[in-house]
Amino acid sequence: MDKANELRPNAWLLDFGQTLRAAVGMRVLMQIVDNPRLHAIPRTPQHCHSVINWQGRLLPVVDMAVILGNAPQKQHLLAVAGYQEHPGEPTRFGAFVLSVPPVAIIVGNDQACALPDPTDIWNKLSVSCFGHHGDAIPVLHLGRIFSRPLEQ
Amino acid sequence: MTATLLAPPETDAAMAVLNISGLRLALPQGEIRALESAPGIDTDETKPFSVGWVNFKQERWPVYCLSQDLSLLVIVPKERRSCIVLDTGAGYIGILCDSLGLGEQIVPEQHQELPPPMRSPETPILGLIALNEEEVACVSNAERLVEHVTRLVNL
Repeated sequence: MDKANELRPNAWLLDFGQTLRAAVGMRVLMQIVDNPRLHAIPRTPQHCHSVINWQGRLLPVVDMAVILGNAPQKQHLLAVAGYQEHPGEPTRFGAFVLSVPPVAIIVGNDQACALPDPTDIWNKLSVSCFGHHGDAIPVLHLGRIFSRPLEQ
Repeated sequence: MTATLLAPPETDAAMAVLNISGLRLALPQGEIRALESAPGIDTDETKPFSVGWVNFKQERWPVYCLSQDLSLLVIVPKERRSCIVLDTGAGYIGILCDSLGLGEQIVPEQHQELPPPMRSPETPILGLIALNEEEVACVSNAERLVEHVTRLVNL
């Protein structure tokens, strides 16, 4: 990798409030939606109980804070993410509740570190982890979050 | 008063969209056996968790009132003006709603399955439909809705 590329942001830092943070790749984040119009779906899990109509698609809205055992966030800011389960497959979409807008950061291979607590949950929902300003930041596995029920 | 039979829908794809305090709940129209107005419900000696009886096929069947989040209500909101009759396999039940839209033709592009992270054994919701930019309908069917009410009654 040349010097110019090394200095470009290559990940988004997502803040779920209450010091809970994670990251996704730069090209994963499609849009930030401020004050979204959400539609509550009855009898669905607390971590994912509403959808947003985004470009004609109804996307599940996931609150990572709830998954991690914390209080729900206020649903005033969403990040729409796009991902592929397997190369060549159509892009799928989902949305995260955020507490503050995402921040573009630079992550290098030499920053790999162990997952933070709760490690059992992060183990299921992340692909790797890196250190950032003294904190361990998991990199989210979007397929495990949006393409299957949480219990699996 | 006896519940009125519904004419068969013109196509199998026809959906009935119930309005329950703002919740839009879509069911295959062909699965709604009959309609009754809320004032036609007999409220004498109700079964536990039911709010009255509907007469259908020379018998009376329990009527249930659901909230916007599909919990059971024992006090009927004044907005509930209609009652649909569903087949339970062993009889029938009535479910109250504020209003009912019949003959909604849903094109496949409008319909999507319930996203995986929203699935739960406790939800009768099978899918979602964007009715327009502002409204989303939850798709269920008679079997799942009857199962849901039965589970709530037996809790």
